[in-house]
Amino acid sequence: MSDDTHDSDSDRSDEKAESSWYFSRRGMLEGAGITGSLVVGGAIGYDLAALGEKRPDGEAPSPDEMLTEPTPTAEEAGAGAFGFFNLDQARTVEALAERIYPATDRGPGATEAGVVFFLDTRLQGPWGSGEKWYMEGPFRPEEAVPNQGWQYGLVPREVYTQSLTALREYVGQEYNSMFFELNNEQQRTVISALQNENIPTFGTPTSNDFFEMLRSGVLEGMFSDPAYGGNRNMVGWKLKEFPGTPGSLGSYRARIEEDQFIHLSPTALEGQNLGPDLKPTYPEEAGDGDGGTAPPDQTDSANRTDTTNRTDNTTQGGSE
Amino acid sequence: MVVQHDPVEVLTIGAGWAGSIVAMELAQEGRDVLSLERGAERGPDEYLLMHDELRYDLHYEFMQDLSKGTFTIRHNPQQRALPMRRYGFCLPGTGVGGAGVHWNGQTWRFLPYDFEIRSRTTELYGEDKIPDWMPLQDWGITYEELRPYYWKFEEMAGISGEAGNLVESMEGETGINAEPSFGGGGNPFEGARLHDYATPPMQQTPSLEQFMDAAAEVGYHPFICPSANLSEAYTNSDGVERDPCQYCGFCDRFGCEWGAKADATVTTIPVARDTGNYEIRTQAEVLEILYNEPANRVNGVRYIDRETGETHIQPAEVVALTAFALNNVHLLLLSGIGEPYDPATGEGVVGKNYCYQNNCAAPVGYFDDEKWNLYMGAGALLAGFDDNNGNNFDHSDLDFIHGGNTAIEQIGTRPIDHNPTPPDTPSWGEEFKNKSLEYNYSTLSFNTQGAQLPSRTNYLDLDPNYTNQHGQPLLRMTFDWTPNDQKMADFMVEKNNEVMKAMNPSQMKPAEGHDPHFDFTTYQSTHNVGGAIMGADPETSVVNSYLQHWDAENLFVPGASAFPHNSGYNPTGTVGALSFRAADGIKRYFDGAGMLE
Repeated sequence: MSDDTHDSDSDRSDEKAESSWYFSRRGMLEGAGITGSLVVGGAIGYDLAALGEKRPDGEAPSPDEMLTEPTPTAEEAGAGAFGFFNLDQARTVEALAERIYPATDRGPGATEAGVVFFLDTRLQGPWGSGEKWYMEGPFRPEEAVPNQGWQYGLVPREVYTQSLTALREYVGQEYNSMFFELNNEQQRTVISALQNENIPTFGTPTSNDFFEMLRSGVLEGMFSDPAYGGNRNMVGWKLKEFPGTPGSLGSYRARIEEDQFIHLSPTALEGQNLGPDLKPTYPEEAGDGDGGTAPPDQTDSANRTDTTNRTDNTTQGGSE
Repeated sequence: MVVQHDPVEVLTIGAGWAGSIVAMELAQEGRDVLSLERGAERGPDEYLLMHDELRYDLHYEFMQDLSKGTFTIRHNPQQRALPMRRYGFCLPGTGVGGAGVHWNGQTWRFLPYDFEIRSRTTELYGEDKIPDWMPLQDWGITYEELRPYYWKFEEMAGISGEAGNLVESMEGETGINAEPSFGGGGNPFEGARLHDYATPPMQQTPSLEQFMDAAAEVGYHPFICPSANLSEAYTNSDGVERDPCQYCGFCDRFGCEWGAKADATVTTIPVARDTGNYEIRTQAEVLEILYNEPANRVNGVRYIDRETGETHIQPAEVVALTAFALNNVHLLLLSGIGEPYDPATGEGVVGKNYCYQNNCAAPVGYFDDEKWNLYMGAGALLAGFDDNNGNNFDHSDLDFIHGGNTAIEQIGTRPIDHNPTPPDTPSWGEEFKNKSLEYNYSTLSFNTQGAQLPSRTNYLDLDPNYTNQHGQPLLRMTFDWTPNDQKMADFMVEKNNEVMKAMNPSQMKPAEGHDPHFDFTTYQSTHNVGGAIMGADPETSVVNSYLQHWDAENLFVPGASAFPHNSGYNPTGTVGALSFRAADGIKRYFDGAGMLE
C-alpha cells in the first residue's frame, strides 16, 4: 500500500467526519441506545458527553506533527533520571530500542517515545522482580522441552543486568567500543547476533531470550498508555491511528457498520490514576439523583470541550 | 487456631458463573447460601478505568497470581512436568465473577451430536471409527434434556442472535440427523430451539461482511454468531436491566463498565444478594473439601482467610464445587474424593479426559486497498459458519471425528499486541515498523475453533515435585495434540485457505497445520475442560447428569470440568446450562431425593 492510498483513505474519512462525526450529546446518547438503566451511573455520562463533543481533527498527523514536545535522550536526561539503569546501560538500551523500533519516514521511533524511561520504570516495579511469576525450585531449564516455557530462576531485572553485561563484553571485544557508540549498521549486526544466539559472552538465559524480552518491552513502551512513561505525546498511538481510551467509556455503536476508515486523534487515561485504589472521586452535582459522579478535570485535553455538562440519563438504574 | 463456623445450607467454592448461578437459584428458593471466593470483590465500578492494554491484557491483572499457585505441564507421561512459571497458553481468572468477568461473551449451545457422540459416531460409521486411544464417551444427558437449561442461561444473560433452527413445539422437532433447513438468517446446523434468542444479533461490520460473502461463495452458510455482549438494551425475567454494547473494543481480559457484557457481577450475583439469603466471603481460599467417605458425603470445607492467614472450617449441607475447571479437579484430588485416573490402566476417573480446544487453521489476508475500523469491536462480534463442525459433514472418508466452528471476529485491535506483517517481514527494525503500520487496519484473519477429543494420555493429576504457597502439590497437566487434532487441523487448513482466497486479499499467509507438539508458551484459549466428567456410569465418570458426585451425594461439581470432551465452540453457554441443571439437582436433593436418577 502506498502512502497515496493511505492519504486518500484519510481524505474520505474526513469528508465523512465533517458531515457526521461532530454530533450532539443527545445524538450520541441516542446512538448509544442508552435507556437510563446504566449500571455504573454518572461516570459514563461524563465520558459520553466528552466523546460526543469530540471533534475530528482531520487527517492522520504527519511525522513532523507528531514531534510536539521533544523527548530528552538518555544522555541529556542524565544518570539521575534512571532508577534501575546506570547511564551506560540506559544509553545502550535506548540504542537497542531505537534499532528495534526506529524513527522512519512514517514517524518517530523508540527514542522519541521515551521507551528507555518506560523500561527503567517497569524494571523497578513488580514486573521487574517477577512478582507474579512462579519462582519455586527446582529450576530445570536444561530438561525443558522447547514448548514448556520459561524455566530459569532469574527474573527480568536479573536478566537485563546479566545480558547488558554480556553485551558490553562482546561489543568491547569485537568493536573496542560501547554498543551506543556503534553506527546503525553495526548495531543492527549485533542485534541480529543476539537474535541468532551468536554471542559467546551469553550463557543462559540466551541472547535470544533477552532479545525477545527486550522486543516485547519496546513495543509496550511504544504503545502503552503514556501514564507508564513511554508513548510520549502519544506518538505510538498517532503512528497506529489508535484512538487510545476515548473509545473507552465512549461508544462506537453508531459508527461500527460504516465502510470508511474513521480517524480519531488519541486520548489517554490522562490524570486518571492507575493505582488499584485510586479510582477518581467526582464532586457531587446538583440534580444528580444517585448522589454520584461528575467528571474529573479535563483541563489538558485538547480534544474535549465542555465536559462539565451532565446528562440526566445516567442515573443508577440499579441491578443491585 | 481454627475458626469454626455455623453450618450453611449451600456452599459454593468460587463465585463465578457456575457458583453464582447455583447461589441465585437456591437463594431464590429461600436457602441460606454462602460463596467462598479466593479473590476480591469487584463490579462495574472497578471496570471504569480499565481500558489499559498493558496492565490488563498483557500483564494479566485479572488472572490467577502464578506466584501463589500454578500447574505443571508436559506433553506425555514420560516427560518431567515443569511449572508454568509465566502465563502462556491459558489464563485462569480469579475474583468475584471469575473468568466470566474477562471473557468475550461468545455463547453457544453444543450440538445434539456432542452429547451422544460415542453412540452416534458408532451408529453412523461403526465402532472402528473411534480409535483405541480415544476414551470418547456419551455425556449421560441429551441435548433435549439440557435444552431448557440452555434457555435459562440465555434468557438470564440476554444472549443476542438469530435462530436458525426454531421449532414451535417439541413435536415439531426435526431430530438429530435431520437435514438442516437453509436460507434463514441464523445457524441452520444448531440444535432445534424452542425459543428465539433473547435479543437480536450483533451489528454487521464491513470486515465481517467480506468474510460472509466469501464463505457463501465457497458454499458455506455464514451467520452472525451468538453473543453475550447485548445487541440492545435488555431486561431479563429477574428484572435485571442492562444497556447495550458500545463496541468499544475492550472485552477480552477486561471487565465491561457498561454492564453490557453479561457477567455474574451484573446478573446473577445482584439477584442472589437481593434475596437476603446470600453472602460472598472474599479472600477465602478453599484448600480442602472435608470428605466423609463411609457416609458417601462431604461435611464442608477447610479454607484460609488470605487476609489473616487463619484456617477456617465451614460446614455445609450441600457443597457446590464451582471453581475454574482445573481447580475443581485439583480440589477433588487434594481432598481424596473419587479414584484418581491412571493412564497406564485406564482405570480411575478423577483427572480423566482433560480436553482443550483445537484452535487451528488461521490464514491471514493483507488487503492493500482496504482500511477497516478494526480498533472498534466487541468480544463476541463474529461471523462464522458451522458447515465444518460436529457431524455436519460426512466423515466416512475422513480420518478424524468432529470438526469446529469457523469464524472471523472483530473484537477490537490494540496497539501493543497488534503488529500484522506479511510473510518474510523481519520482526524488528525499519521494515517491521513500516509494514506493521501499513497493514495495521488492513489485515484480516480467521480460524476454526475445533473440538478437542480425549486421549488416554491427556489427563490431570497431582505433581510429585512442585507445591503451591500452602505446601499442597500443584496440579499436573499432561497434554499434547492427538492424531485427531492434527488431521482435523490439516483438513481445516485446506478449507480455510479456500475461504481466504475468496476474500481476495492482495497477499496471503496461508494457514498451516499444527506443530508436532502442543505449545504451552503461546496463548491459545482458556477453554480447559474435563477431568471431573459427567456420565451415566460411575465406573467411567465422576458426576451424574445432575453434576452430583457419584461418591458424595451432597457434592455437586458443575462447570467445564464436567465435559467428557470439548466441542467446536466456546464452553460458557454449556457451563451455564449445566450449572442451572445442577441447581435443579440440588433442589431435588433437598427434597430428599438422595442420589438422583
